[in-house]
Amino acid sequence: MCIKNKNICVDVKGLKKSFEDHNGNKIVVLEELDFVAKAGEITIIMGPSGCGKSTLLNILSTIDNSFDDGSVYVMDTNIKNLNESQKADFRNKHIGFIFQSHELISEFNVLENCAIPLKLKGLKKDEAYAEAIKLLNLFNIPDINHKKLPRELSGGQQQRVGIIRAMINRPNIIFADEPTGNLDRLSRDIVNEELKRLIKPTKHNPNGIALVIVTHDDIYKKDDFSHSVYEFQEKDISSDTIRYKLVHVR
Amino acid sequence: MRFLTPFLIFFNLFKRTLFITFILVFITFVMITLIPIVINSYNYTLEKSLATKQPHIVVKFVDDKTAYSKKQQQKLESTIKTFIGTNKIDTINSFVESTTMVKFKSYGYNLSEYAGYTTIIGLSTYSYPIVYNFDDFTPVMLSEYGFKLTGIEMFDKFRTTKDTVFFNTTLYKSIYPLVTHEARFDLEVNSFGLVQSNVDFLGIVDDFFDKPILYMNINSLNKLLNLPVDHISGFMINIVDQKDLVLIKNQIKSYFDKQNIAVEVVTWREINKKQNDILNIFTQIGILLKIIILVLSTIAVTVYLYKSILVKQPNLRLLNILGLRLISIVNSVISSVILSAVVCAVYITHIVANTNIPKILKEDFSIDIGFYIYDVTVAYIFLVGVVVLIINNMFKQKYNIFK
Repeated sequence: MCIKNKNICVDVKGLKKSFEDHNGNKIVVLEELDFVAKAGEITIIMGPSGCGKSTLLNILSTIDNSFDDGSVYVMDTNIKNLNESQKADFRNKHIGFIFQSHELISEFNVLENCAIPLKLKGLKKDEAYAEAIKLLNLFNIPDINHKKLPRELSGGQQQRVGIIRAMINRPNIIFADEPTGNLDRLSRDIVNEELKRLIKPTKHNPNGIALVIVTHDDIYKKDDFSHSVYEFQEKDISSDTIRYKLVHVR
Repeated sequence: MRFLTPFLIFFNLFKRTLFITFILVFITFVMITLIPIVINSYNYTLEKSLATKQPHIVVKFVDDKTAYSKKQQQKLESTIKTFIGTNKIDTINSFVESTTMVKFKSYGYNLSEYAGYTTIIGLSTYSYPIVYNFDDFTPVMLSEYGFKLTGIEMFDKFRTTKDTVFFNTTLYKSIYPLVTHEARFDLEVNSFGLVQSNVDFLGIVDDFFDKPILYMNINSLNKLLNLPVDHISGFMINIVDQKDLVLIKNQIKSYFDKQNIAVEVVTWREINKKQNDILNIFTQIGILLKIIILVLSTIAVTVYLYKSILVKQPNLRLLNILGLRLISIVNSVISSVILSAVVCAVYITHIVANTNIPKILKEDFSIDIGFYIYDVTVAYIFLVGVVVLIINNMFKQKYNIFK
């Protein structure tokens, strides 16, 4: 899917995003921002709190397409032109999400949580569950846990379930927000190994997945883990706000 | 399949909420059905007990001198019965009303005299035993017979004879006259009696608080009052079903109007304003309670749904991020509502068409099924509107899933 433009899955040029505060003043959060994420690569976005990482992630993942200026192409699609329903379909088809606090649906069991994207895609329940079970076994989640509610699993297991849910639809891009932020060292290592496995080319995804990770953790900067690193750096400090720019570090 | 998926996910996510909402709605239905049944049953019992203590419809000739022969009386009664419908009329009795003087004799005392307005009931000569001649009762006998007559007991005793009617002016002055006005005999002074030697079948009951009631044979009565033998003041009519009260009153009025006989026709509820007001108040309370329950229940369900949707908001957002269309969520809500409305409509149609429940509710408990269809629909539309507004508003709010 990402072959058309040198495997580029996400292509952002000159992005500008601003908000109005409660006094009606305009606050620029993102400005002249360029960003690229390629298939089969892990791209890291780093930066301090409040620099605009979440805002950027919302835009890249098509949750928010109301930016002021610039262009955002995801899978060669200008996301600005998508309406709410198209965005939902687009996310279901092309994008997977991994969240810091797992964000599993507490009312659904592990199997149901994993199968949701496939069900939303239109697959039959049996097909969706079969695929989910295959991945759960691949990620070493024992059968006994499949019918359990998410809260009955350990943090590491919950995050693995989150990863399965993110990849079960065979997306082209996965956005991960502090994927190991809430995990202990052992669980973090396991999850990181799983993340590295994610991007590898498969039958369904010959170019591999583009994995975009937003993190504070410097270990992701290492060459052996990531292919590309972007960092929000301070641009200028005005009287009451600090402005950041996104710099392509590597 | 894809069309059903959002609905199934929505149902799965909100199954607990939907179950509790169903229970709340069910309790509301039970309450707005049971409370009117209880109130209406009480009202019905009260109405019946009040009605059995007095004539239901009083037809009074404006010309007090009206005199009918026995034959004429019987013919008139028969005509009225036929005109109204024999199955709707329980009893028709003539009565005489006059201002008179009744003398009492208290044993051991001098003759005392009571003068006042007394309604006198004429009793059929064929009725036996209708009138007690209290002079015949000794205190021992009274005790032996447990002769502590309440009005109801007396009435029931006398009602076994169809052409007997009691007319008590005091009934018009209190709500429960015959229950509280127990027939009282002063055992110490032996007995009450009416000093009249030239009439037969006499009886008198001191109704404790108010004026005495005199019961005697109508012919004896006429003799006592020096009236023509067949003089009557009017008719007292007891009907079978109180629901026909106004209808029958109007029919009787129109009948006498056609005959050019000037009459005054009044129902017991018109005469007894207090009783009527009390019965109306109970009816109003029933309606008020239904409305209060419905409004409170609607508010409770709305608040509960609001809270539930608020609690599930992150999950709904998450599902939207994973690919569930917003419109599907709203559609699921509307579909659920339409589906349950259709189920209710089918069920109500089935009940109306195949059972006599609506008829029983309406006729025996004065509950109109239309009430449910109209008022519950209004409450339902209100609920749906609120839920759709909540969801719509929820997605307009900024919600950041990335920490």
